[in-house]
Amino acid sequence: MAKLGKFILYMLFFFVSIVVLFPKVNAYYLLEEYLQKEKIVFSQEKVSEHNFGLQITNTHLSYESIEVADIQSIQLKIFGFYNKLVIHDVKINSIASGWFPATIKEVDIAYSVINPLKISGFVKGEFGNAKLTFSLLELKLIVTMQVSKKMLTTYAKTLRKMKKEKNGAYSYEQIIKF
Amino acid sequence: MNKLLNSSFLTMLQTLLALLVIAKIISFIASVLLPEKGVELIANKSLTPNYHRVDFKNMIENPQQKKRVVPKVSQGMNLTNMVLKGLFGKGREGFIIIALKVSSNKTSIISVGENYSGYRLKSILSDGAVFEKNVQEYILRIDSKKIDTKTAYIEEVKEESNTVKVQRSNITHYQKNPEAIWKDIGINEIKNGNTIDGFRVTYVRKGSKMDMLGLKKGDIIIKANNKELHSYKDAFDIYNQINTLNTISIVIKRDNNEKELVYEID
Repeated sequence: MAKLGKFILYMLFFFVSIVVLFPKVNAYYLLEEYLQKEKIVFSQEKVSEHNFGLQITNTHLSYESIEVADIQSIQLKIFGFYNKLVIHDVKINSIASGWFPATIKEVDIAYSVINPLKISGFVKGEFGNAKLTFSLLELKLIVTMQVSKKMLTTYAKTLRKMKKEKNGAYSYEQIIKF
Repeated sequence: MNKLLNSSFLTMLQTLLALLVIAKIISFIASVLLPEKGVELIANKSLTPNYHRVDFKNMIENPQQKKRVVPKVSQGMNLTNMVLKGLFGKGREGFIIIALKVSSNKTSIISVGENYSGYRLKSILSDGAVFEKNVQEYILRIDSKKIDTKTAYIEEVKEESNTVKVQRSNITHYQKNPEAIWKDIGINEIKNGNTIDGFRVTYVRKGSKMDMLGLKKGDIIIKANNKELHSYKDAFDIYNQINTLNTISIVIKRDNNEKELVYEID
């Protein structure tokens, strides 16, 4: 029992050392190269790392060289047993505002070893609130939205693509292939 | 002393230090192998065309038409605020007496070739004067029956032209209200595998600002400012740079024929 305890302690210490010492900014640059192949680019950002995570501020997100959104900050917190991604103040390009409200205040995505097969999160914005669930087994994303009045009145066309639940929420499912 | 040296605590400490060193080595190797710079978006080249449109039709004389051709007159329309009060001379010699409606007592005498309120007097007719502005010709006539009170009207010479003048305020309106774009016009891409062969106009709302562009349902937009449209990016490049452009020319396919539409932005 003592040996097991020691082993767990050593592994925990080793993991924490790796997380603290690992060059996270360089790892982010590697991620950017991978995303570039998918035609997704984060540009003009300021990247800084700290012991247990990474912070990216004032970045422009583009897809196929079209500017899609401006993001004020992205914070990644890595604790091993609990990891979190928080995105603040996303402004979507005005050309897309015909389908979706331009501002998303917060995106919060978390992964915990307590529920290892699921990533969950929530999103708040002008559209209302949304709950996200991503199943790592099925690679399925489920979005459940409680929509705001603005979304109901101005963006009714977008809501037609979603399924209306009995409690008034709107849901959307998508299988994501990597 | 031996007890101290053999203590399990020291062993543990040594193990932790060893693990720390291994973690540091792994991090060092990672910092060498991982990229040092990030990816940035490459700025788009300007879409201002490398040429300026010049209308030569007034400069090159048609050898078959030796006599001066009176410009075609189509339906007239009440234009601005000019009143033609008198004519003296004919053709390219002479002068006219003209005033603005708002101050009809303040007349000006303009000779052929001189400018008046942005219009250049080109020639004098028996019952009017031909003005020129931005390569367009206009006729201002005197109504001989009511020379004192009748407002003279300006007729715009309408020839077959694919040039449309677009007000920058209309563009600004759409930039500020992008949802209005999709209410006034519908556009879908025409996919060919992974690329796009152009954009088809699915509807144009009648009476809207988009209606004035001359696009019709079924038109396929294939080029803009000499650049073929093979992706949404190509189309968005034009949209993003529109404030810097004075002219936009698009090539459309209509009934299997290619046609060029030119928009001059005022």
